[in-house]
Amino acid sequence: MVRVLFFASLREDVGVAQLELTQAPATVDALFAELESQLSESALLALRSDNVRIAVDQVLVEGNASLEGASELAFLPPVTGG
Amino acid sequence: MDTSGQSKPSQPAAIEVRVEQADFNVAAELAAVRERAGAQVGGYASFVGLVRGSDNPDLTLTLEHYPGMTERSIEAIAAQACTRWQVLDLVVIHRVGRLSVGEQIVFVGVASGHRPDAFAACEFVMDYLKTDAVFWKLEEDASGRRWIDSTDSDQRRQQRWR
Repeated sequence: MVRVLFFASLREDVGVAQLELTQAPATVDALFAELESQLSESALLALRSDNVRIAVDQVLVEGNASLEGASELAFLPPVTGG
Repeated sequence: MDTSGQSKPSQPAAIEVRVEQADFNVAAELAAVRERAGAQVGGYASFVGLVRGSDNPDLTLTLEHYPGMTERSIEAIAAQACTRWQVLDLVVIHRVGRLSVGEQIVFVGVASGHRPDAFAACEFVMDYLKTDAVFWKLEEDASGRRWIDSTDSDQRRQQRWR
């Protein structure tokens, strides 16, 4: 079981804060392939935006990273603190 | 921005990071920073960020975070400051939840043996919090709601430390 979390504006674009997948997809590309069957076109467009980062077990990854063994995946829109 | 004498502290810096809904008491936090810094302390610098006033007094800011990852993102920023400057004690408190104009959002307190190190480390941490800390801000007022992006000027301020 792997959780996929959507934060802030992306949670609103997707419509839910999290989804559960029965097992971790092998890669980021495979994750998107799986999400295509579950999410709307507009939600996918938001998730694919250039400024969206993906965290695997709370660590940022780049490109088509491996998701093997992951238990928590997260889509993060641009951050701003302070 | 190498303003320090590069004197290595003889004790490792203590770092404390708190992300919480509750407000904080600046005087109490500063007293704690000073206390923890110990006998070598020469001074401390601090910054308190507020929800900026605007034309809309009904404006609110709702801060969201990713529990765990957010704390670690701040700890990484604080640890970097402690490798660049002589820091005895460094505290970052960042609030989350819904805040109104004038409310405190963030506290950074830095104790050091030396003034330039305290000032520089404090400013460095604030600049990186703007660009690298895992928070999102939703601004709401009578005219609607907007998710706030980090600005180009925030990015430029952060990049001058590179």
